Amino acid sequence: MLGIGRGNSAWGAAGPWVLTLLMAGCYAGRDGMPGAAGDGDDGDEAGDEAGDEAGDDGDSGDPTVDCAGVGAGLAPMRRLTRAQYDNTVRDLFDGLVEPGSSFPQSVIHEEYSNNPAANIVSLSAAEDILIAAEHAGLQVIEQVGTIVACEPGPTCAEGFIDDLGRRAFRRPLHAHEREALLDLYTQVESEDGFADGIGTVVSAVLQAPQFLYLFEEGTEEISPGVVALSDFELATRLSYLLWDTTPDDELMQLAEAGLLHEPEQLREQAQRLLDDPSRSGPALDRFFREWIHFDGVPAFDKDQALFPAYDEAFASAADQELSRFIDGVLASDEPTLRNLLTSPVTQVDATMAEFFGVAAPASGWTEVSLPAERRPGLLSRPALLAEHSTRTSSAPIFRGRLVRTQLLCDAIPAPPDDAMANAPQYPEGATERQRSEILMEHLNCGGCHGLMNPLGLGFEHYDASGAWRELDVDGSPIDDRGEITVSQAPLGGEFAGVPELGERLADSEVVTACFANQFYRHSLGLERSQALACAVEPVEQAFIESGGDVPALIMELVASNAFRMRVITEGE
Amino acid sequence: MRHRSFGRRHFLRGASGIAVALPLLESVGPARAGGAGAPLRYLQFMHVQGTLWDEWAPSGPTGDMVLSEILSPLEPVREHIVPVLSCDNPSGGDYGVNGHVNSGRTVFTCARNSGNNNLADGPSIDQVIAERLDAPTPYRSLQFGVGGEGVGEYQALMAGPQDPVPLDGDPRAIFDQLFADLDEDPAQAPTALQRLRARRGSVLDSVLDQFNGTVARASAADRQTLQRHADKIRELEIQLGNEGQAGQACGVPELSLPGDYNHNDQGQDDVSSRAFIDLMVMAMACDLSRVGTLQYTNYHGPDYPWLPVGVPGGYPEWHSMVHDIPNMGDRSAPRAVYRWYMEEYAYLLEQLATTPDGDGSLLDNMLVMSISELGNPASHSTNGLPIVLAGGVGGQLSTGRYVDLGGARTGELYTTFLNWFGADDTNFGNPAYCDGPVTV
Repeated sequence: MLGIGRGNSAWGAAGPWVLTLLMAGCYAGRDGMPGAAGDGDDGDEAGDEAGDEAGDDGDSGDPTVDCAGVGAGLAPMRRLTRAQYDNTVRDLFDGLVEPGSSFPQSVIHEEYSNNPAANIVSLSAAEDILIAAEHAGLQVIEQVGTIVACEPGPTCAEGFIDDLGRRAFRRPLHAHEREALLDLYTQVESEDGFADGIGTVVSAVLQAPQFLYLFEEGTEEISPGVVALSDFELATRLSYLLWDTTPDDELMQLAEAGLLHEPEQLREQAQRLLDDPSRSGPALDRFFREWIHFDGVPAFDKDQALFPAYDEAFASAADQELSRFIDGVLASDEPTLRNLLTSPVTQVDATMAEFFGVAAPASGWTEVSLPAERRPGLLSRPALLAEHSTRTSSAPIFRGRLVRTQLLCDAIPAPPDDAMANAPQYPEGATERQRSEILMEHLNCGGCHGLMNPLGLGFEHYDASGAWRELDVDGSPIDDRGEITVSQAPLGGEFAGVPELGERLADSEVVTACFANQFYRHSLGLERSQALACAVEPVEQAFIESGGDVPALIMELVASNAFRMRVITEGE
Repeated sequence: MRHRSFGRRHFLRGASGIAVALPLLESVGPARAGGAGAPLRYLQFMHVQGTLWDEWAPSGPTGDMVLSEILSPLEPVREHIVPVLSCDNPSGGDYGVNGHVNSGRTVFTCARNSGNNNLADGPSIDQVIAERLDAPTPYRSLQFGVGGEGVGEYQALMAGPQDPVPLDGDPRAIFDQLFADLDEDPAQAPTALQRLRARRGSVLDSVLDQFNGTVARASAADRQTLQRHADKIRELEIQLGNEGQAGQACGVPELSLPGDYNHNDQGQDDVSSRAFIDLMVMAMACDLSRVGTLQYTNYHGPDYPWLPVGVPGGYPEWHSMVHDIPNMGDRSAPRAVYRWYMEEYAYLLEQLATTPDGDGSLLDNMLVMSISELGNPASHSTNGLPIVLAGGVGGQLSTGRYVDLGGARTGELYTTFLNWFGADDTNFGNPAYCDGPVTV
C-alpha cells in the first residue's frame, strides 16, 4: 500500500530464508491445483507485498528500507477501534456518557483490528459515526449541569471547548480548530441555548478526523527521512497500546511539560499503566485474542448431538479460563513466553473444575495446577482448541495453521476457490490422521497442507470441544505424534503431543522473535509487510535476551526507536 | 462558514390512526426516466436454514400454479409472485470455513471470500442497486435484523470488498431514527434529539472543515483515507438533505410492542418480524429509502414458541433438527417453520400491495425477493435456492406464475435485476459464475 514494503522481511530474526524454503514447496503445489490462480497473491496475502515478495533479497534501493539507519519504523494512520471509541467516550465524560451501539464494528485485517486499510469509512459507517456522536451529544445536553461545572456563558463554553478538545484530540487545540468549534457553539447557542451549543460541539468533536484517527506528524526531522514523535503523540501511543483509551491527566501533563520522550520516561509511564490491571488487562487481552485468532465459540458453533456438554455455560467459562490463564502467567513471578507455552497453572470455577476433573472452588475462581502432560500452556486451553476445530471434529489444518502463522510468523496462501470442490472423498468414520494422509497425497494438496497438517496432528488428544480424549473416533488409541516441517534444528522435526510442542516452541528464537514481531505489529496496526525488519529486529533481539519476558518486551518496545520515531514515506 | 440546516418533516395522523400526509413535500427531481410517477424500489427478505427442498416448489402449469404447503400462505397474493425454481449459488461451494459462512456471505454477493476474515470480496446486490439508483432519499438503504443485529457467520450485506454493512436489530431505535423527525404536530416544540438532527448540516460542515489542513504531514495513503472519509461525509450531507418523494400513504407508523419486549429474544421473533415489516413498508411509503433488507438472523437455535409444533423436539436445537430432516419420518415441525417464514413474506407483500403509491400500489413498482442462503439445509447445499420474486417492477415483471431457470446462477439472476433497475450491467459477482442476465 505504501509502496515501500518491498524486500523487507516481516519475519524478524527468523530471516526470510526460512519462509522462502517453505513457500517454494507450497506454491509449487498450489500452481498444480486445478483452477488455481497460480500467482499466489490472493487470500491472506491480498495487497500484502511481503507475501508477493517473500524471498526477495531486500536490495530494492528504497531509501527507507534501512529505517533511516536508526531503526525507525512505519506508522500508518490508525482509526480508533470500536473498543477504543467506547472507552474513550466514557473517559472523556467521566463515565456519565454511554457510547451506545452505533459506532462501526472494527474489521480485523491481518490479525489486528486497528488496521486502517480494513476500516475505511463507507457511507453507512459515516452515518453510524454521526448517529453515535449524536447519541453522546444528546446525553451531554441532558446532563449539561453535571458535565459542565461552570456558570453557563461564553467563558464557560470556551473553557469546555479547550478542555474537551485537548483530551479528545490528545493535544492542545490549534487556533483554527478552536475557532471552528466556538463558531459552531455560538451559532447554536444563539438559537437554542447553552446546553444545545455544548451538546452540538460534542457531536462535532466525536466525528472529527483528529479524534477518530491516530496520526503522527512528528516534530522535527531528526535525521534525513525520520521524524521524532511529539510527547503528545507518544502519550497517545502508550495509552491506546496499554489502556485502549485516551491519555489520562498524568500522561497529558507530562507531555505538556515535554517529559515524555526519553526511553526512561516512557518505560516509567508504561510500568504505571501496566500496574493498573483493570485497564491494562482488557487491552492486553485484546492483543492475545487477536494474535491467536480467537473470537469466541458460542454453544451453537458446536454440534450439540456430539458435544452435549458444550453448552452456553461451558462456552462462557472456557472463554474466561483462556483470559485467566494468560493473566495468571503475566501476573506471575515469571511472566515469560516459555510459561505462556508450557505452564500447567490456570484458574478454574466450578464448571471448569468439573471439566478438568479437579476439585471445585467453594465459589468464584481459584488457581490450580493441572497435569502438565495434558494441559500445558496456551495451546492446550479448551476454548482455543474449540475455536481451532470444526463443529464436529478436531481440525489439524486449523491448529497447524495457528502455529505456523501466529507462532512461527510464516505465511500460508489461501486455498484456491475450488479446493473444497476438489477435496478428496474420505471413508466413513475415518480419523483425522487418516483423512490427513489421504489429503496429503491428493492432487497437489500436500504442497501447502504439509505446512499445517503434520503440525496440527500433534493436537489430536483434544476433540472439537477442547476436551481430552484417549480414543479416536474409530476406537483406536490416539496417536499424537506431530512434526514441525521446517528444515533447521532445533525447531524442526517430530514431536509427541502438545507438551513437547510447547517446549520446542518455547526453546526457539524464531518463535520468540515472532511473538515480539506480532506485538509490535499490534501496537501500530501494521500489516505483515509494514513491520520493517530493521525497525523491529532490535526489539526482537532484546526480547530474546530478556529470556522472553513479556513485560520486558513492552518496556523495550516503548523505549525503542521503532516506537519513538517514524520514517517519512514517499510523498509526505 | 456555510451552515446547512435540515428541517423537520411534518405529518399528521388521521382520526383512524392511519397516518395522513400533509401536502408539504414536493417531489425532488424526476422519480425515474419514463416512469409513471412512482419510483422503483427493491426489497429483499432473507430467511435462514433453507427449506424443505423437495416439497417446496409449486407444481402444475406455470400460469396456473399449485402452491405447495410451505408456499400456501402466499395464496392471497398469488397474482403478485413468481416462485423461481432451479437457481444455484455456486459461490457457496467455494472454499470457506464451513457451510454456513460461505452460503451466508455469498447469497447476495456471489463473490469470492478469500480474505482472512472471510468477508466477501464484493458488494451485495442490494447495495449495488442502491448505488445505481442513487435515489434522492434520506437513506441509501435500510437493513433490519429480525432477531437482533448479530449476524455471526451470516454477514450477507456488503458495501464493497471486505466492507460489511451492519444490520439494525432494535425496532424502537429504528423507529426513532426514521420517524423521530417526522413530526405529527408542527406546533409542538422539537425535542433535543430533533434539534440535534436539524443541525446535522452545521455539524457536518464543521467536521468537513476539520479535514482541511489538519494534517500537515501524512503519507499519500493516509491522505487518501482522509480524503475518502471526507467524500463520504459530503455524500452523507447530500443524502441527509434529501427529503424523498413521500407517497400519499406516508405517516408515522404505530409501533406497539409488549412491555417485556426484547429484540434479541428469539422467542419474540414473531413480534419483531411484524414490527420490522411495518417499519419497512412505511419507510418505503415515505420514500425514506428505495432499497431494503429484512434478514432473519437467528439461524441456529430458535425454537419458534409461537408455533404449536415443538421445535426442537427431541433434538438439542433447531440446527440439529434441520440436519436430520432426511431421516425424519414426520416433517411437520420443520414444515411449519418454513411455512411461517412464508406467512411473514405474505404479510409483507399484502402490506405493499395495499399501500397506494402513484397510480397503483407500492408493490406495482417494486421488486421483492424472498430467498434463503441454502436450498437443502441438511447438506448445506446452495443449489436450488428457495427464491420467490414479487412485484411488478414498474411493468417489467409478469407475475402470477412460476419459472424454472434450469440451473442459472444467482449472479445471472441479479444481473437481470440490475437491468430492470435501468443499469446496463452484464455481470454480477464472480464472473466465473455469470454469463449475463437470464430471462425470468
